[in-house]
This record gives sequence, structure tokens and C-alpha cells, in this order.
Amino acid sequence: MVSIKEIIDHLNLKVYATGKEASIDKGYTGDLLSLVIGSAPSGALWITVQRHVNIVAVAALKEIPAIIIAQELLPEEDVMKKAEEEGIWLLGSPDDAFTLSGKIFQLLQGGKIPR
Amino acid sequence: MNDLLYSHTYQIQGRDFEHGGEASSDIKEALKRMGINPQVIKRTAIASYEAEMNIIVYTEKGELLLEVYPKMIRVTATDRGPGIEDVELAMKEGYSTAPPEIREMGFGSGMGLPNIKKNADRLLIESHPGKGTKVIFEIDIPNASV
Repeated sequence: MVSIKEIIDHLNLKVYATGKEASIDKGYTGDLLSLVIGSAPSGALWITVQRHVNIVAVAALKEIPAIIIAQELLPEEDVMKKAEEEGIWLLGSPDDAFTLSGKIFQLLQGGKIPR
Repeated sequence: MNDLLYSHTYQIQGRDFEHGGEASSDIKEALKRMGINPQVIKRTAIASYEAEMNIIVYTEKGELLLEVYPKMIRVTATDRGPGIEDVELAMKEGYSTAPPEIREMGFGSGMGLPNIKKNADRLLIESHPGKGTKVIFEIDIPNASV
């Protein structure tokens, strides 16, 4: 289990919205919302390139505590506001989804992050 | 089967992506309060989200009706949208009539109706092209856990 704050710290993530404190032990990467709704485990950290407001609804429904938007794609302000309201972390990284997934996978395995 | 324990109707506005998913979240919360089996809640929430987003993506407006009975949950999604020309084709995973801008948002991947079918115990689709669509699905509650 790794806390979201540790993940933010290790990966130097941008924080667009502050959510509830939580610890993570699994993740999910994907952009097709039907797949995310159908397959993402609840409690997982979600990596995506989607950045419209409905991602917050998907996360809320799946009890996903944190979303990381890859490749420096910026969410609109309404998305940040909504995430804040729902208590979901909305985070950003310049890394692509593959690199982010790899780094977080390693972190969750207890490994060190290649900076 | 006739003793309805709870029912609620949610109005859904087409193209309202901002509030899309809220009805499904409310349904999930209502079922949680009733102490229903978590697996049943999960399946109902997934299927409801897909039905809700279909109304938002494809229609002007519609509604979701949630009915909870002692042994099953029924959700009826009704809209006055364009209807589905070929329901059998629409049930095929990957088949979609969504425009490119909707697909770019991660919707319209042709998995909505299949996802409902996968999560429901029974699914009925009535559609009249040009008039609208009614999607009814039921999820059984094992061992009357209400």
C-alpha cells in the first residue's frame, strides 16, 4: 500500500484537485470509459488521457480515489472543481500512460522509482 | 414479486456530460442504504451508467426508473431519441454509431449495451426508430438480502 501523497511526491505530479487521503495497492490504465466502468478495480488509481468532466463521474462510481492525466494534458476548470467536490484526486504528469503505469507499478511493488 | 420496496425516477438531460453518471451514483447510494449485496450494487451501477450515458450521448432527454423488489432490482431507461435501427447489431461488442467527437471522449466504443447484458440477469430492448428506445434490465438479489 502506498499513500497518494507518496505517489505525488515520488512522481512529482501536478495536483489539479485535492481528494480524500487514501492508500493505493492497484492501478488501471485506459481511456474507453465502458472498459474502465466494466474493468477497473474499485480503489485503484486510474491513468488516462481523457480529461473531460465525465471522468470524475466514472471515478466516483467506481470508487477510484485518484485520476492521473498523462502527457501534460490539461483538464478544464470545471473538471477540477467537480473532482474537488467529489473528493477525488486529479493529478497530472508529463509522462505518457505507459511510462506512468510502469513507474507506479514498480512503486506499488515496493521498488524504487527511476527518476 | 409485486411488493415494491423502493422506486425513484431520474430525469436525464441529453448531452449533459457534466452531470452524466450522477443518476447512477444516486442509484448506487440508494442501494447501499438498503443494505443490498455489494456485488448486486456493483452490477446495477455499471449497467445503469451505460444506460444513462446512452441517453446523454444519443438523445435529447430521457429517464431512468429504479425499482427495488425483495428479490430483484429493475431499471427502466426510456428516451425519445432516434431509436436503434438494428438492435441485434447494436448488441455486438464494438458496433457503434457514435460520431468521432464522442469516441474521442472515450464513449461510443460499442460496449454499452453488451456491458448492460453482461451485468444484468435479464435485458429487454424495445426500440422504434424515430420515436425512442426503452431498455429494461433486471438484476436478481440472491437470498433476498434486502
